[in-house]
Amino acid sequence: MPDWEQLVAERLGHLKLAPEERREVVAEIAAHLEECYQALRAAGSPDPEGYTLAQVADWKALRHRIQKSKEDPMSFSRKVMMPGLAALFVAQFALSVSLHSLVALHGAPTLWQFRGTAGPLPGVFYLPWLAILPFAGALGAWLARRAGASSAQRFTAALFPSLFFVVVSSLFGVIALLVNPQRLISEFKLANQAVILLFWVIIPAIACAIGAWPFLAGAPRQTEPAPPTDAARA
Amino acid sequence: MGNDHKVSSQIKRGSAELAVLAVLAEAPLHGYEIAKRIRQQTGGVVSFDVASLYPVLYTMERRGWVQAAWEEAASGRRRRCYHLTADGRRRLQPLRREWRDFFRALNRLAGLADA
Repeated sequence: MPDWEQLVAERLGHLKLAPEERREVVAEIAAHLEECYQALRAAGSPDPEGYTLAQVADWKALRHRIQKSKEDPMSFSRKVMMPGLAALFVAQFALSVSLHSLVALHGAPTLWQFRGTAGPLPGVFYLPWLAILPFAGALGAWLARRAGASSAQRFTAALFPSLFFVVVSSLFGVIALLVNPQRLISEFKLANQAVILLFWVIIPAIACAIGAWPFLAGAPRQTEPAPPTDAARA
Repeated sequence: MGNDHKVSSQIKRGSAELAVLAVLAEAPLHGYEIAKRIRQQTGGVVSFDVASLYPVLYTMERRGWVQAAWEEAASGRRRRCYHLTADGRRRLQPLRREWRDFFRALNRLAGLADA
């Protein structure tokens, strides 16, 4: 008799489920096929193994359908959006505190003097905010890991504070393009855009990633109770 | 014809749900037995194989309509046995009604009962 568990595990390939959940699916389907096989053999089928396996014409499609059926529709929101928003909240709170400190020390007009590295901004405003970002990134990745997210999802959640500026600057760009495209084109300076990109997206992203790093490795927390490992075997 | 008599657009997709919930309403069963009962009770007209049954069962489990637990059969073989939850029973009632309406509507249209 074939080893149905091994056969199912090989044919299903890499099911993107928690390891215990994957073992449970393999065991259950193997148990089903084994019963089919036994019934066909008892009925005198000339090729019980062939008839049993014919139940699944496309294992890849079955894998996809099982993954989809096991997937929580709120999964992305729970694993990425909520942790990412928590990281963003921390980063934005730090930013507002930094801004408040800047205005309190140097007055509101200072806000308009930012040219990347000049003036009092880097010390009072930008660098403290940047120092907070690894903690914001760590929070996003940690919460995502707790929610059972993959490494890629944890990394995405950690990068929310810098992704926020990508979204905001893109929105402003689109609005400016719609309102006054000629002015936008005439005033567009690649060097300025590069500085903005560097200081508000790339460096913050690196800071967030540094904080997230310890939480990217390791398996996500298990949310399902562990099933028996010898489920399909008598 | 009022909205109450309109057949839900999801009714076709609900056929698999109806079949599985209906057999589980009779008794808790494991996957192979569910497929066997459906085949027997429909005279082989409706049948589920591994590829069609388990995605349905897992979706229903995620929605809380069924619950599963590993059990050991008299033969010593371990199998995952499904039983209907209270939510599953609540889901079954409107599903039965929708299908009854659907077949009555088809019957009025095509005279299926006389065919």
